[in-house]
Amino acid sequence: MLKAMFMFKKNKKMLEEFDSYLQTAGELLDDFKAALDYYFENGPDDHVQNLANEIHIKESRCDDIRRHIELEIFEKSLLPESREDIFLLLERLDNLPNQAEDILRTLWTQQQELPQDTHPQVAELAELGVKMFGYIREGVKTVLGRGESIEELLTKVDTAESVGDQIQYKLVAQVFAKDMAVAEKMLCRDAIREIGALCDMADDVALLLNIINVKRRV
Amino acid sequence: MLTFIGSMFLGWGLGTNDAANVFGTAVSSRMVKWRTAALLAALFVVLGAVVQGGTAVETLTNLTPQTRLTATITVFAAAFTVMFMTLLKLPISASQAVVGSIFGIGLMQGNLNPAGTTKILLCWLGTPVGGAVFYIFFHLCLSSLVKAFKPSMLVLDPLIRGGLIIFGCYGAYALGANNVANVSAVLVGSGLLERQLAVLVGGVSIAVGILTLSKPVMLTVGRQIVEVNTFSALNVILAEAATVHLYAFVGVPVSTSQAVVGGLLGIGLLKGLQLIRWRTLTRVSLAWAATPFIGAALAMLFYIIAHLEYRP
Repeated sequence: MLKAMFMFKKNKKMLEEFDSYLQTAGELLDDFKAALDYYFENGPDDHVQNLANEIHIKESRCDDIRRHIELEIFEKSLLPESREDIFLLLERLDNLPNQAEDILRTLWTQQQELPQDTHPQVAELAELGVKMFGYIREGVKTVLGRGESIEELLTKVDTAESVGDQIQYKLVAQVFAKDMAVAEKMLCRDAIREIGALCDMADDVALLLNIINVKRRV
Repeated sequence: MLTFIGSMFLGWGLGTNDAANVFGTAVSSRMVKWRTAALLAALFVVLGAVVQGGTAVETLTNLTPQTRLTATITVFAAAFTVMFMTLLKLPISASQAVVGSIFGIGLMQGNLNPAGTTKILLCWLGTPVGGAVFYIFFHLCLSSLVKAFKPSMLVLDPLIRGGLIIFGCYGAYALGANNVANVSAVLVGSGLLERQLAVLVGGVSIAVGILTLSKPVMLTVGRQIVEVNTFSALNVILAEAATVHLYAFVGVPVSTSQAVVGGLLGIGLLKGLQLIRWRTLTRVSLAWAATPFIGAALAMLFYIIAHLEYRP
């Protein structure tokens, strides 16, 4: 009985660590959105690098929590298939904070300036990625929790991802219609794609959550 | 002495192989350490053998009268049958090998008990059926509980893990209660040992098999007739344990492997027959059908050889 209670306590601690990871990643993405807004206002100045460094601190914290969960997972009384699912879930979730940091670093290191008239739509694309992370955060809690249906959530993510794709394609078309050097257009295209990738990564996590949920059905 | 050694060897072989049916899933997926599983299995096998092993012993001893010579023949015929099928990499039921050998002796002596024979054959046919029926019953009960309470992954997984250990212990108890007769019946029938001592000694021989060489078999994830997840595996183990235990009450030693296959078929019946690997199932069924015939044939051959007289 004591061992059973101990097992549940260990597993509860892991759930708390997961919560902590999601909380930190969520804050990181909010900071990323704020940093991007600053970038649109002021261009790729040194403060953008400072903001990227602050995001890096949170990204490192996410990595630390992830490693801790991965190391401890074998001490928990989880089934092998659950362990695999959690490893994969962490790997896919971690793509988002990593991507957010990379975007800011790239914008600063390449001293890249996106065309002014694309700023609102790029901001919208980034906002969409952050919003999708919010959906999948709820999805993770549901799937690791009582395993209830996440159909509604999946629909929201799917719809948002489609919207994100549309915005991305329009932005790229807009950039290539401009009178700019080809190299500059390509850099802008890459930056837009990198920001749009946040939505794709969130969609990947949602798909995985769906599979995990289906597997748990008895 | 030969009979005793042969029986102990048979018991040891039974332990090394059949422990995988009760703890294989838990050990191969690293939910339970092999050492823990082996100790628990050994303990509960002896317990089952001592508490409930007598009924099946009585059934087998009543099949046909045994002398020390015929007991020795029975044991070695069964052992060779097991070895032969193992070499052919076919699944083997020690119960069927032993009973087949006893049938062979009974046929040669002309005093095979027809009622006992019929009882055993019906129970053998009923074993996979029992496995399937119990699987469906337990699956419906346990899945209803899970759907009603909706425990989180972090609660359900430890419960399943605990279930694998508890049901594994139950399975080991049922194994001892049901299968010790394969080891002890000839010892009792030939008058070598009293029943109580025979089931204890038989149980210990199975336990020694579990403790010494069951690890490779437990660690091997064998080819299944149906792909199973851990929840289904839990139900299969419980269904197997219940089936084998039921037949311990009836007093007929049955195959734990057949009970497991019955459980796996239960999965197929619930989730769709297209999931069943029919080729594997056919191969396994043919091997089981052949085992008692091979055991009987070898016993008859050894009997003839043992009774040959040199006449110059």
